[in-house]
Amino acid sequence: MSAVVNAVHPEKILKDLGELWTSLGEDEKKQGQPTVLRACAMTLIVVTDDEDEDALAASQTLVDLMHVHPSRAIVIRVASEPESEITARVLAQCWKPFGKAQQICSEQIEIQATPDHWPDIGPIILGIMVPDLPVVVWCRQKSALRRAGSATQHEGLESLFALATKVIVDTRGPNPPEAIEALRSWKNGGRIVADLQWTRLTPWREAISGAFDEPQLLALRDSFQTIEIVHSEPSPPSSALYLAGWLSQGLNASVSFAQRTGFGTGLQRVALLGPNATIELERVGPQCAELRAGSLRQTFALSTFSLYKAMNEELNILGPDDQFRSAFAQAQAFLPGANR
Amino acid sequence: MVTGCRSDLSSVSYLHPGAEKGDTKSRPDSSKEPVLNATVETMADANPFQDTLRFERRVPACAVVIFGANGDLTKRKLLPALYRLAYERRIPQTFAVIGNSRTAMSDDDFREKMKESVQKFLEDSPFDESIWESFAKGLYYIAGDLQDPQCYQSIANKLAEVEQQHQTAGNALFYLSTQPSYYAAVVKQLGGASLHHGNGWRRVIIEKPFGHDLASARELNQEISEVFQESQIYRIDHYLGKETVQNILAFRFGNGIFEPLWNRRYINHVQITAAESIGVEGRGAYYQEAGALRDMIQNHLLQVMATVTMEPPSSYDADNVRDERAKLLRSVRVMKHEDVPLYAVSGQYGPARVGGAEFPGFRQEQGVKPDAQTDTYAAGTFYIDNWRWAGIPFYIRTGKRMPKRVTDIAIQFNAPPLAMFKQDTKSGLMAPRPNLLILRIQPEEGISLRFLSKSPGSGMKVRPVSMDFNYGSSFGERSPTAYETLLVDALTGDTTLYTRQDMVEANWQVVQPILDVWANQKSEFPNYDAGTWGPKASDEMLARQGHVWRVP
Repeated sequence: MSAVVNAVHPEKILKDLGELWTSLGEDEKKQGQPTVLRACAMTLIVVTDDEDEDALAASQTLVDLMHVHPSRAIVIRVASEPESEITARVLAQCWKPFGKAQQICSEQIEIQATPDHWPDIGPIILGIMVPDLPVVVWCRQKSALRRAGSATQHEGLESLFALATKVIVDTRGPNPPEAIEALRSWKNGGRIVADLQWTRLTPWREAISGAFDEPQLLALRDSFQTIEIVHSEPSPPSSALYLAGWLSQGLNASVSFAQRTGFGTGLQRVALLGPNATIELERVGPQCAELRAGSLRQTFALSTFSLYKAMNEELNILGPDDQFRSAFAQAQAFLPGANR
Repeated sequence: MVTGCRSDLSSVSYLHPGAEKGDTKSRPDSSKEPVLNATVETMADANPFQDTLRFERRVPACAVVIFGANGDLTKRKLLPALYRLAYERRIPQTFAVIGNSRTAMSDDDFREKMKESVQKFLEDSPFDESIWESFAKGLYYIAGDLQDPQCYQSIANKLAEVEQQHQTAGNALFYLSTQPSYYAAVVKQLGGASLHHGNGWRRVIIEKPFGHDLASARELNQEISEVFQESQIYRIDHYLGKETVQNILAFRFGNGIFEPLWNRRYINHVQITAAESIGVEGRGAYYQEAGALRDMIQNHLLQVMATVTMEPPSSYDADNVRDERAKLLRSVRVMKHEDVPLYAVSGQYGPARVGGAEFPGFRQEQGVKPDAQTDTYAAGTFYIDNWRWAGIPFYIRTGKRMPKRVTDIAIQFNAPPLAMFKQDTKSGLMAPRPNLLILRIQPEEGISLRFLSKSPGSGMKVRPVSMDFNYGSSFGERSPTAYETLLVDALTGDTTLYTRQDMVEANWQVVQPILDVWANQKSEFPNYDAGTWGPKASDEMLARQGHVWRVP
């Protein structure tokens, strides 16, 4: 169910949203159903553009996320050639939880604008975000992580970030150092910025951490001398850099990166090497990894970390993530040209 | 390429003998645990790669031995909960279950039987054949009589075998899902076969009822303590594992606005209702001996009351939470025998026609004596003698064959000092009703706040409106069942939601005078019809205080 807003004024959008809810409730009443339940835990702003090749998948992810994180979703699409310079429409995403009669609905507002209208968007968002609840900005604009980003874009994003409790980006791409540099500037001043490349590391980190639950291996921690990280990309992706940063905090070991084609993109293997012990975690299939540590040889599922799974994990953590903060700081040492 | 890879990450964790990995949360009585475990826990805490923000609690590789594996609880609750944990990859692939009962069965027969049960009783979840196949590989069965030492030797042998095959490091949880009369014997036999200690940790979960009165509870505890230390004993009260009961603590202590009102100055009285629409459903013989007071109030509902009324713990860990709960239970006023008729009401349902169907009375149920004096309904007025609650009545009622299945807690606040507005009702105007906060435990879990709002139109009339928070559907995500929560807690050594012996004794102390008086009187049963809200005497008990049972 949706309604197009003719003029982009916050009051108009809110009025249309109100009417949408009323009509949803009336439809349900007519059918003799219990009325819809409106749920909202945050404002989730998604910024996307023409370059976003996975826009469709992201859109589905957004719908799925509403089941767990009911939100007012605001999708800002910056398009070079939209139907008009700036438009907005409101719609509701409704679903019935398994075995329940009552529908739960979350609201979505879509704003489409040309790049020139970036500065107009901030004030609109200010008027339509849900008061008193967290605001999360999911920035899917790849160009935002490049130095070549325009001043207007920078200004527009800054106005959104200023409202945000948390910003989520994804530095997966061809030039990790450039993206990490952009991220570093965004994190200035204590702003909470999450990177889905860090989120994707959770199963890898969990496995390594699990190995160190073994007291004998933990006791040998200081004897590990080398950390080897193997990735499939020509140069280390940001996930490899973060992993190196995270491991460096707990181990006094040197880090080396290597490239090897393997199963899919991203990390293929991480090995902690020392004279007395070795811990190896290696992808051995598209959905599988093997952990070898001491006498243990364990195969376990390491499926592709879906966008939904990554976003769900990040939306569960709205406060600061100290482990990422320090891993990110350590990762700077592994950027090309850094003094190690 | 490796195929069929779908085990969970927690399976990468493994233990060497003796370690009690997973016990990363604080545990009471840890000083009484073997020294080795305490040492390991300290080292595990030192793992620099732990990330509590993102990593799931790790259930270590272990075996669960279920006594009474052919029983209803295993079929309806335990196996579906364990399967669900496997489905969500919250237990390791190396996890093993050893079932025991007297019925002769092979491992495969047991697996087939459990599969049927899981498919039948899995709530709100799909059944996945491939996950079941993997899970079922860890299911074993030992037939044997609970009184026979040979049975425990067989279990010991199987545990040793499983320790090798499943890398369980000797960790074992014994689940007593047998008839209560066997608890002491099983524990004694476990001790006799030296199963209470081993290479890894050993724990025992004991189902309610924990004794049938104060003396028997103490005696049972004495017998269990001869084998297991208190830190190894997990007395389960599944009500405490319910998401919404846990949410009471979050609601009270996670928000700043309710706690200041949470005392005798602002609260008028509290009503706790646990009603069932069903009868005894084939459990007539058991229920005849237990009754509603023992079956529900002595354990579940007094624990719920303690959750609603306890003081804030200094931190959310097992010791602090359980200390506060226990302190509260010790503050509940113990009735004098002569006060019981005034403050407690028993009832028993008689036959009735409900919704066009005929329902038998309790005495007509299968296995029930025709002159049974069992209470299928029990209600009581309880007082908590502390500064926060002195003088505030807590009404608790529970019954079978009530109009509907509902468990909730209604907190009624004092009326405003001045009735400035009249309340608009269909039948005219009346004095406004006070605010009511309802904590709904089941079936529609959530919280409702009733307050007054101006009626639309001219004139200053008010009417009550309800602001609802629906726990399950607001988040749209399936909540774990109480048994899933509590099993993971036991497997990771977290006793926060388990009942300690001092709490059990405090509970029995509260209900013991009522039991004594009821045992020595001949009640005129039946005194309420099936499908009604209980005996008239219960309404009169509240009327004496100027209160009325609300209709849930």
